[in-house]
Parts: sequence; C-alpha cells; structure tokens
Amino acid sequence: MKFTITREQLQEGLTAVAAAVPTKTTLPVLANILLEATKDGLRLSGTDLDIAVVTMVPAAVDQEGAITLPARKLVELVRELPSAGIRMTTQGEQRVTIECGRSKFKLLGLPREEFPSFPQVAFDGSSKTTARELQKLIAHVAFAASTEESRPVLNGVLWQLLPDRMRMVATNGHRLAKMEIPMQSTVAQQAELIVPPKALEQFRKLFGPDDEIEIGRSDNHLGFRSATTQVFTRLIEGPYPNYEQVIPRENDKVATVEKASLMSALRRMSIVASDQTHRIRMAFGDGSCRLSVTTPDLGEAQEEITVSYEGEALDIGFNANYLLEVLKYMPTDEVRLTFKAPERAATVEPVGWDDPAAYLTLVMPLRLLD
Amino acid sequence: MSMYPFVGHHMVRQQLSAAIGADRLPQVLLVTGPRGVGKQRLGLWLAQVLLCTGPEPRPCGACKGCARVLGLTHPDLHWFVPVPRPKPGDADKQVDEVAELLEAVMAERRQTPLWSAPDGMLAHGVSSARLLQRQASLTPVEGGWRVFIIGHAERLVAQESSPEAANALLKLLEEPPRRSLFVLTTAEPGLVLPTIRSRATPVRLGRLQAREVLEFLAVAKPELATDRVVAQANGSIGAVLGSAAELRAKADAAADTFLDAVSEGPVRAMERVLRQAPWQARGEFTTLLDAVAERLAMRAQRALGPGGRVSSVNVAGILSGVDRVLQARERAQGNVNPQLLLAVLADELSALEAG
Repeated sequence: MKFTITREQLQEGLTAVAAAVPTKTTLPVLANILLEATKDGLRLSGTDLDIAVVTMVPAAVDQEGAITLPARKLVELVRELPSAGIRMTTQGEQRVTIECGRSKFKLLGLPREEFPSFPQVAFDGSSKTTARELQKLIAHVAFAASTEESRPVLNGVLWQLLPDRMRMVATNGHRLAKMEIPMQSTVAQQAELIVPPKALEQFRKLFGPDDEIEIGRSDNHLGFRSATTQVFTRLIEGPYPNYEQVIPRENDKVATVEKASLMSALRRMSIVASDQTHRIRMAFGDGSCRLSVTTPDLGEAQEEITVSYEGEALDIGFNANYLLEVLKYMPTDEVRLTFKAPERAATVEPVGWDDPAAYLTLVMPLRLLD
Repeated sequence: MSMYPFVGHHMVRQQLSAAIGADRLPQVLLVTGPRGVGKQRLGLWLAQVLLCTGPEPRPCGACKGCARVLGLTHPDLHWFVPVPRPKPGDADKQVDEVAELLEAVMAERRQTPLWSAPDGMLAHGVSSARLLQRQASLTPVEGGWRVFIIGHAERLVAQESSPEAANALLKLLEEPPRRSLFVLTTAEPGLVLPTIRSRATPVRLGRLQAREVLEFLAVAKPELATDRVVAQANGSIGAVLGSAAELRAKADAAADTFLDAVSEGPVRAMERVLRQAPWQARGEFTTLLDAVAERLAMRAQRALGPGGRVSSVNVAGILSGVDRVLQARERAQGNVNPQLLLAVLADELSALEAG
C-alpha cells in the first residue's frame, strides 16, 4: 500500500471514524482503524462491533492495499504533524512508514484479515431521506428510551418507515415520546427497526443537516450512507411492545400552559419532593394549576400557576423529573396537557408548532397517597 | 495461538451435528460430565460448526470463521467464565468491568489455551448476567449465529439483590432470541439453579478414552504424554493439568535449568538466581529443591553404576552437593529469603563441582 494525502483530509477522516473506536476493547484489533487504499481514495473504517463507521477521503494512491493501525496513536500523530502532504507506505502486512515533511515514523499495526468483516447491508436506493429529518426525530424521541436492562427491547428506539411518513417511538414504561413526520423523500420498503440510541447519537454527530442519507438494511443491521460516510449498526431484537394501546384517545380534560413557567415551578417543587419517587401533586381547577408536595421527613411546598383549563377539577400525581424531561424537548413556548383520570396516562403536546411533524409525549401518573 | 484440537465425544458430536443439519438444535444446552473432559471445548466446537463459513462437513477448520472461533476472536462468540465480583458502584460500570475481566481471561487463553478450574470465590454475578443480556439483545455482528458459552453454570448465583437481572436471564433462556445458542456447562448439575436447569436440554459427556487423553497430551503437553500420567488421568484432561504430575514436570525442568546454569559459571548462575522471587520459600521453591536433590542423586547413581566412569566424576562432590541441597531445603521451611538461599546454594554447588 502506498499513498499520499493532505494532513487535513486524513485528520477529517480519522475524526469521523475514531468516534466508533472503543476506548476499552474486547478484541485487540478493534482499537485499530482499518486503512484501505483504493483507486477511489483512502477508505477508513472503525468499529466497536455494535456500530461501524466507514468514510472515504481523497488521496493519491500509487499502490492499493490495506493495513490496520492503532487508532489513538494515529489520531495523536496526525494531529501533531505539520500541515503538509503525508506519505504512507506499508512494509509487509503489519508495518507502515509515515513521512511528512522532515518527520518519519514507523508504526506497527495488525494485518487486515484480523479486522472484523463489515455487515453486508443492501443499499438499493429505495429509501432516502435528509439527515435533517432524521435528526429532528432523534432529538425529540431518543431521550425517552429506557436505560434499565430488564427489558432490552425498551433500550432501543423504534423507527417505523411507512410509505408516506416515518415515525420514531421510545419509552421506558413511565414516559413515552413519539414523533411522526411526513416524508418528502421516498421509502419504498416498509420497515420496523429497533435501533440502539448509541447508534442514533453517532448518526447525529457524523452527518450534516443537509446530507442526503440513504437507508439500507439487512437481517441484522441498519446502514446509513451519505456521499462519503457510512454508518452501520446492529439492531435490537424485537418485537417492540404495542405502544399504541397505552396512548390515550379519550382524554377530555385539557390544560394549556406556558412551558417556561410550568418548568420552573416543577423544578422548585422537585427540590422538596422525595428523592425516591420525585412525586408532586398537581390540582387543576378553573384557570389555575396548584402544584404541591409534602415529604414527611423534609417539609412541604405549594405554588400556583396560571393555566387555561377545560374540564372537571382534577388532582393528579406525577414524577416531576419525567414531566420536566418531556417538557424540555417540547419545541414550543406553550404546551397542551390532556388527562382523563388520576390513574390514567396524561399527554403533553406542543401548541401551535409550525412544523409538519406530529409530536406527542406521554407521562404515566403516580398514585397520590391521600 | 489457537485452541488445541478437540478430542473424543464422537457420538455426541454426531448427534449435535445431525440436529444442526436438521435445524432442530435446542437453543439452550446444559452440558454435564466429569471435570476436564471438554465440556466448554464442546461449546467452542459447536460455535465452530455454527459460525463456519467453509464447505461441509462443518467445522471445516480452515475458514476465517473457524480460525476466529479457535483464536477466541470471533465477535459472535461470547464465552463467560466465573469472574471476581466487580467493585461496588454504578451498574453500568460494573458491567464494563466484568467485560474487561472476561477479556483478560480470554487474552490469557489465547496465549495458553489450557485452563484449570476457577478459584472458589469467582462467580457469574449480576453484572455478568447483565452483560450477557446486553449482548444477547443485539442482532449478530456477522449475521449468522451468536454462541454464548457459560462455563461452570453452577456458579450462576441466585441474585437476591437483583431479581430483575435473574428474571431477565431466565426469560432469555426461556425464549432465546432467534439464531442464538446458549451452552451452559457444569460438572455438578445438582448445584445448577433448578430454574435454569429446567430450561436447558441436557447433554452428557462421558470420560475420555486413554488414547484420546494421550492424543491430546501429545499435542498440548508432550512432557506429560506418558502412560503413567494417562492412567492417573482417568479419562479427564483437566485432571492432568494442574495435577501433581504437571507440577512435577515443571519442577524437573526448573531443576535442570538451575543445574545447567550452575555448570555454566557464576554469571549464568546468578542470572537464574535473580529470577527467583525473594519470597515464599515453601511450596514451589521447595519442590524445586527436591527436584535438584533428586537430579544430583541420579547423577551420582549413574556415576557409580555399572559402566560408570568413576574416575572422571567427582562422586563425593556430587553427594555433598545433595547434602547441601537438603540443608537448604530444611532452611527453606523457616523464614528465609529463597533468592539468597538459592544464591548461596549455587555458589556451594559450583565450588563442589570445581573441587
């Protein structure tokens, strides 16, 4: 293998790929980046076996070939090199010489064969979207995924690709976020995927909002591809629980609240709330919501905020943290809360959002003790 | 270095192969049988069959899949062995720590693909169960099967502190994700949690035949491949490893290097002495002295025996050497520094050899 590349281009490629390289690894070769010199340029790949990132950078290739090199050392080295052409030449399967200006390095790597093979994901061009659309979904939904291991399927984010729209759902059983956007782009193949949030986070970092993204999949993997970069991820084994049945359809009590004032009141209340349950009480009545909390060994607090409320008076308990969390992701200044009864799920939605997307979150109430 | 060849158990292998061929392999197996007959090794063999990409009959033993299973680097092979309890703290960190501990064990096994029974305190704890679950919940890395080997399944402890992890594990074994195989192994099926035992299909491995043990030792431990050792092994390779016979062979080899070093002059001798740790005079060090005394006695015997060239060898010198070694052995039972003891001994022996 023999090629020349500019420092900037190599660094850009390495930064993208290094994000997938694990800091602690179970297989020694995973601490390495795979460099493949091809006639189209230099292809860099890194993986922690859950997620793989492949990116292509332009390089003048004299001789094709491949090697894997320790990611951390390579990134450090390239960062310190002067801004000039870098020339890499391999000697055998495991050694490489790196020359740049008057510096010369010899690095030891591992043979290409030891690097895990990449998932065969079919990009047939049938499913396309822009990174902006996907990033919007991720930003509003992924937070709600569970971090507990008792139900692995809830650790993932459900992503449904339908003919004219796509939908993302995540929940931990106590709160749920769901967003649906009409697709300007095309999805020929319907699919239901459960994606690890780590992969979505990687996606958010690696693609710019205007990138055209092609979606590909195989039995076990999902792939995203832009013109230069590809991200692959393993999926979580389904099936995803039927979340539709928990979304209330008959909530007849509706409160419209200014988000900022509700959030600051909730934050104040949660200080006095129990550290275990974070339970607070909300009493909705005519034109106002009275928040209160009583913690036996700590004290109590009350606050009243103005809301516009329609329906019978209602006393309902919530985990303040769950409410704050869903409010944080609400894109509008005003939000609508709907209820049915103190033991039934409440929904939180944006009010007057100037966006084609439909966004809904759901929070389960807590039983009030008295 | 990759795993040593798998010996014996041809009937079981045939049955399992047939089950795989007919696509009716039970996804949770509990492999039982005496210690050291290759229960975990059977798990690796099954992994090889399932992950082999070569031609039939599988495993072909030559493809990338087979090579990576035997080299313990296949990403869809997960081998769980009992590990120390991780430090108390965040559950996620504990799981990461267990992953690292397991990786350290695997790195060791890649270097020397022989293992002995784990220490009594080690177990499969909550964090191991979590790690197992985390890995099992994701689709395979390479699109084929995922194989989980859980050695010493009797050490899957009841998780009173964390019923969620235990229940999740049971659920996993009850409804394994598609294309995943769990091979639990144990020499003491009676100690395996009944809730786990009832979810697994038993596979019984018998003792190996003497020639199979010999065949294995000839490859893995040629110095132990003798009929005496094989007879004592009673059909268990594990019984040989870490046994008296193995320790003995190790001590004999160490004694030879020591005596050679003494004959090669003071520099060599001191080099060897410095490699002796300056603590723990009893145990391994004492065995070494025994072996040295025996070696010297054998030399004297040879020299005196029929056809021995008494004139050219200083028999008296050798015998007083034996005496010195035995004195050193006696001192070694007290509170002494074995490194110094060995240095003095080396000095004395070389003086006797010269004189």
